[in-house]
Amino acid sequence: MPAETEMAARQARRRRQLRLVGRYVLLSALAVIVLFPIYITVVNSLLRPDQIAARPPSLFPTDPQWGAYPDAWTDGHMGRYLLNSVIVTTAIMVGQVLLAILAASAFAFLEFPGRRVLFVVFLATMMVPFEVVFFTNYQTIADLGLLNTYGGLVLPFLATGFGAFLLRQAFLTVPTDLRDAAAMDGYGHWRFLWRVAVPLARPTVAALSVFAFLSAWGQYLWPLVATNDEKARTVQVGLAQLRDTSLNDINVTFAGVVLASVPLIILLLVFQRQLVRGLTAGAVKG
Amino acid sequence: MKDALLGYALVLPSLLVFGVFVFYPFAKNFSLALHRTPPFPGLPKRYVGLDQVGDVLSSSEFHKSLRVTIEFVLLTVPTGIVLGLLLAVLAHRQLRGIGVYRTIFSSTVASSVAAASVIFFTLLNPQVGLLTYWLGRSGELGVLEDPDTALLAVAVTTIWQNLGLSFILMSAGLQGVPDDLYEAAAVDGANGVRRFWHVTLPMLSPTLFFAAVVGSIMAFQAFGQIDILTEGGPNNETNVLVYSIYKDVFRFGNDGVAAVKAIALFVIVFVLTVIQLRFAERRVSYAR
Amino acid sequence: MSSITLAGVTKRFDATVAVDDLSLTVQDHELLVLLGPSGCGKSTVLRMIAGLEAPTAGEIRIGDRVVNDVEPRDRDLAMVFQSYALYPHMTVRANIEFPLRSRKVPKEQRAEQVRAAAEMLGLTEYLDRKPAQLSGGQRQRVALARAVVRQPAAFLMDEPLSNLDAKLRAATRVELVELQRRLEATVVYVTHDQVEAMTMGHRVAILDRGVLQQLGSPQEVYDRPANLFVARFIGTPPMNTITGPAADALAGRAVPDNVIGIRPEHLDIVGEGSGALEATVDVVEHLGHEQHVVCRLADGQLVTVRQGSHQPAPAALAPVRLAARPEHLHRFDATTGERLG
Repeated sequence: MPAETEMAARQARRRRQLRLVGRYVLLSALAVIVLFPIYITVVNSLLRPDQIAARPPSLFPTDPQWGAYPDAWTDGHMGRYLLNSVIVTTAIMVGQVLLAILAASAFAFLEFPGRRVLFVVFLATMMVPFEVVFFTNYQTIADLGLLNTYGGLVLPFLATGFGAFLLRQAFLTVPTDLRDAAAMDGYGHWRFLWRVAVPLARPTVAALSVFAFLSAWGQYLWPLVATNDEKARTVQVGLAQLRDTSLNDINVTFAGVVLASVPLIILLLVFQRQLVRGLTAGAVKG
Repeated sequence: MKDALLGYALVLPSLLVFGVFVFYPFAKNFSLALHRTPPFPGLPKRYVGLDQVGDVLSSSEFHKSLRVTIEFVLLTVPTGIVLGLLLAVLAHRQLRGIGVYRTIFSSTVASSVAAASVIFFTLLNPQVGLLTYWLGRSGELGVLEDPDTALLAVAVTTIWQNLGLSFILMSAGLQGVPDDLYEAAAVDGANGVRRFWHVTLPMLSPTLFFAAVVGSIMAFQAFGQIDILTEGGPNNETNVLVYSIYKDVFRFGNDGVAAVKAIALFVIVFVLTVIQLRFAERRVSYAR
Repeated sequence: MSSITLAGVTKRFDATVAVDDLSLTVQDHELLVLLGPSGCGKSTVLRMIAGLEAPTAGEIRIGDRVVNDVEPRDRDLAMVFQSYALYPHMTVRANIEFPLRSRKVPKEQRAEQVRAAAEMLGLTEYLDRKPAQLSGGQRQRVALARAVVRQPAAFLMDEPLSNLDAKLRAATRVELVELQRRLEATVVYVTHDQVEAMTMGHRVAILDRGVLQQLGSPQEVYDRPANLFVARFIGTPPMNTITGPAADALAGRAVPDNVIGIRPEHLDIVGEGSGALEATVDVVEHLGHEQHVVCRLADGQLVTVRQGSHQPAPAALAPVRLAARPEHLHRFDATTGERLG
């Protein structure tokens, strides 16, 4: 008995080990494919243009050239664009969250005639894609003299039906007893909202903030039409400008992409949990 | 009552923004659609009733744009979901170091549409692009200038950029499948593949459906990657709907035509959204 | 401390009348219990006094002030909720301090008042914990401390003990009575538990379906119930109520259209020939300190006799005769339920 079963056991173990190795190989191959564009971007940003054009191509910078980065920052205006993006995106995020908190608190805690109708109106705005109304908004912003300004970039996005929906949901989970207790303790709607409801809804507020930041940061169409000089241009449109650089500066283009992506990468690493919650919030509710 | 005034006041800021930037332009589309823009700027627009609508909807340019957009949606959405699901399933195991792989697979969330497009634009450069070299096309017609491959290239860029999000979504869906279902299936004698077909997929179907509908809505609205990679060409082979609208307004100054297309886009997205909502409703009562 | 007066207070929710023309006064320094089964409207009355609901008709006064249009925070009342309603994201200290901050009490004074309230309720060592880290009894005391710290004109308590287990409930009952005495507080106390009502209240107001049934001291309500509802609601085991020939027999004369009530402890099992009522023993329940003998009358009605455990317990199915002293009999109108004598 012992010899045969022992060999069978060893064969089974080897098969399992092979399967395990196979899995790792598969995962690694896929990881390489997924990571490749990012990897090659970083590599190319550290090569000279002639090295990039060389054949066979170098896949590793043995002698990293950091000069592309300052070039992208100043000549490529990436520094300015990043600043603009940070300002505009933060303003949109703060504005959206604030307005959503205000509206959601009214829908969740107050009674007033037409409340249900107004909430449906808020929901209805989610059905109108921005791409359907962008050109009229362009005209409006131009007429208001807000082209090439932060205001023009921020204003159309200050309100969000999705945010109001999400926060109303969160506010509705606050026990009504707490509201009554706060009323007895001398707190009206406004102070109850900021001292009790918002702290209790903090995970949702955080998720909404991350979601708002991400969407605003990645905007392309609106900054493209609402700006035409580098004063207020954002990083996404600025990147697109970079692709027109000559082949002699192609490493600057890659450096620009890296610079443009760094803030996002940092943000995502820090706020991973909120990100996933924000992204899947819509999915779970359906 | 005091409550009512406060309620209206809290809702007002949002409503103002909606009014100016959502409802007004939405309504204006209908007005624009019914007026033909004169060939020379400065002349008044002419009311033409539904003539312009008819002209646009029957134009070959619109049909091509619609076809291109639908092709784009069909290229990117199913592929994106399948790849995301594949990665999610592979990374769902309890292997050592699986966290690293999961981070890598989600990493494209850190790229924006513009960043991804600029990367691929440069990689597909006809002279020095790395991908051009690997495809054996150095010095020949660039992938992005070839009418046969341009849309494909745009699709690949989009799929890559969306991969992280798709992976995260599918992973979240997989997490929602209770372990005891797998155990029950294993006891019933099902192997890996069968378990996938008969347990994972059915439990995942709401997530898959959501990803498909929302993904399609996003794909119908694609703009950035087209503007950066191909500017609608070559030969309008990548002239998706939104890009076509953009050109109508900012290159041809013809917002009447643009408005008709915008309304068409709205109708498509609206139908998809309604489908999504009806299905979600049914699913909820089904689960109960 | 103030008195609280309700004059003709009615509350309608669409078609339902939750409270029907209620008039009563809670005296200054008194603990008045609002007692009744679920749905009788007692919580609604409390909420109207607090200002969390507005009455459909009638007037509410705190002291001499009419407060119908006064906001809850300006009525100088403190409320203890059944669920305690503690702010989960704040520490015990912050919870207790919360009502003081809205009233712009200066910081040092706030700290002192919080300390005093915490000490009064034995919470000093828990001040830096959060509600989730406390037991049910401790949370209840935090809710009380939050009410006490404001030194309000009156306290409103909505079934504060019902979420506690039985043993803790009994101990806390005593503590609450002591607290009320020490503070000389005016308290309106809502409960469905008649033991709480009888042991804690100076007076008890019994409500059924929005209508006040009787208002009086616990002993009054026990000895002279105003109607059948009160008679059956107060007392454990409940008062026996019988009708028909058996009632006539017990009363010693014909009492048509009347219901005769007799408390179990006032019914005696007597020897042959002397008792007025014939019955057969159904079940004898031994409770250690007393016995409950459940008897079935000839017409099928059940009555319970309460006697000391030292007395001889009859056998099941044994025939017995029951009697009662005339002064212990209660007479109610069979249709209206009102007390007749």
